[in-house]
Amino acid sequence: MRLTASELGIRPFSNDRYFGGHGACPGCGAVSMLRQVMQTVGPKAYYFILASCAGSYFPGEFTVCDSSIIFTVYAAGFAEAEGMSQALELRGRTDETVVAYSGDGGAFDIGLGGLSGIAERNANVLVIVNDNQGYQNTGGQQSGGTPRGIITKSTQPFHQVPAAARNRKDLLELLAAHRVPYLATASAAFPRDLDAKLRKALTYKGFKLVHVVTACLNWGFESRLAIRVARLAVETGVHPLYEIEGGRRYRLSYEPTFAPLEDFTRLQRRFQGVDLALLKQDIAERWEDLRYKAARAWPASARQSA
Amino acid sequence: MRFRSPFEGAWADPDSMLVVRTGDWRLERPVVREARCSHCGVCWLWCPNNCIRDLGTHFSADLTYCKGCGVCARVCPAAAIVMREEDGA
Repeated sequence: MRLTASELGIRPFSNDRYFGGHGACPGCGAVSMLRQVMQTVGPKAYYFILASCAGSYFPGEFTVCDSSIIFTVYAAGFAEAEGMSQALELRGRTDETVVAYSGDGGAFDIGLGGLSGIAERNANVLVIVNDNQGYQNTGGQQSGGTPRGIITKSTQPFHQVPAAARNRKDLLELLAAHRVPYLATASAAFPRDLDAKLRKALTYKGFKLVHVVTACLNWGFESRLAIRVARLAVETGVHPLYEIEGGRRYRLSYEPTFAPLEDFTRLQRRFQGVDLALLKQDIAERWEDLRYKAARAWPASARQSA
Repeated sequence: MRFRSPFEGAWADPDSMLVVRTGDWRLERPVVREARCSHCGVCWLWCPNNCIRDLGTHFSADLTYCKGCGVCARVCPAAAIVMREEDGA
C-alpha cells in the first residue's frame, strides 16, 4: 500500500462533502466509493439516488451531504436526471453536474429501460453504478449482476437451472452498443484511478457512466476487510478496470497481478460451494475479449464518433 | 462542518440535521497510536463514515459517528490504529 492521500492531492482533509451520521452498515464499501465520488464531482451537483441502499444514507429527515439529493424510484430515476440536465441547460447553468447514482438492481434490471433511453438520447448525465452484485438492501436477492453459481435467496435450485446455463449481464457492453461518449469501470480501492476517470468523464458533454464494484457486507466477510475485498476483486481479474470511449475505443487502465481467485473467494461466505472453474473460465474469456478489443486500432476519424 | 454549497438546498445548516449518533452501534473502538501515525490520510480516505479528524500531527476518530468497522485499522500502512473492545465506558 504505497498510495497516500497526500499523493492524491486532497489536502486539506477537512474539505469534506459527505459527513458521518448516515445509516449504512459499518464497513460499507459503497459509502467509501460515494465519498470519493462526491469529493471529485464537487458541491455543484444534483444527485438522483435510485432506490437502493443509498436510501438509508439519506433517510429524509436529515442530510449528511452538502449537495442536493433527490431520492427517487427505480424506473423513473434516469428520466428524472435527464429532465434536470435539460432544465439546467435551458437556464444556462452549465457548471452544475447531474449525477444519477444507481445500484446494480437499478442499472442492470429494473431501470435498464430508462438507462438505455437516456443513453440513446445522449443526456448530459453522469451515471454511477454501485454494483454490489445483488439486491443487498433487501437481504441479498439475485440481480443481473450476480456472478454465476452463487446461491442467493432468490436463486432457482440448481437441479432446475444449472449455473453454467446462466449468464451475468455485461453492462458496459450493453451500453457500448449505444455508442455513448464515455464508459468506465472503477473501484473504491483504487482512488487515484477512480478520481482520474470521474474527472475525464466530466469533460464529456453527454452520457457517461462509471461502473464501480463495491464490497457489500452481505457477501459474508468481516467489516474491516471491505477495502481488501474490493482490491482483490480487481487484482484477481474479476472486475477489470478499463474505459470505453465512443462505444468503440477500449483502453485497459490497470493491469492486475492476477492473484489466484481463491484469495478473493475464501474471504466471502457467498462463494461456499461455488464451482470456481466456471468463474475462472468466465474471467479468462472476458480478459481475452477485452485485450482483443483494446488492441484494435481505430482511424483518427472514428475517434470522435460518439 | 458548514453548508458549503452556494446553491439551493433544503437546509442552510446541516449541523442540526446530523441527528443519528451512529457511534452507539460500535462494538470496537479505533485507538490511534500517535507516535506511529505518519499523517498520510489513508484512514481518512477510506473511512466509510467520514469520522476521521485531522488533528494536525495525527488523525483520530470522531467517536460520535464511528461505527467501529475497523477499515481504518486494516488499511493503515503504519499499523498505527488498533481496535479495542468497547467496555461500556
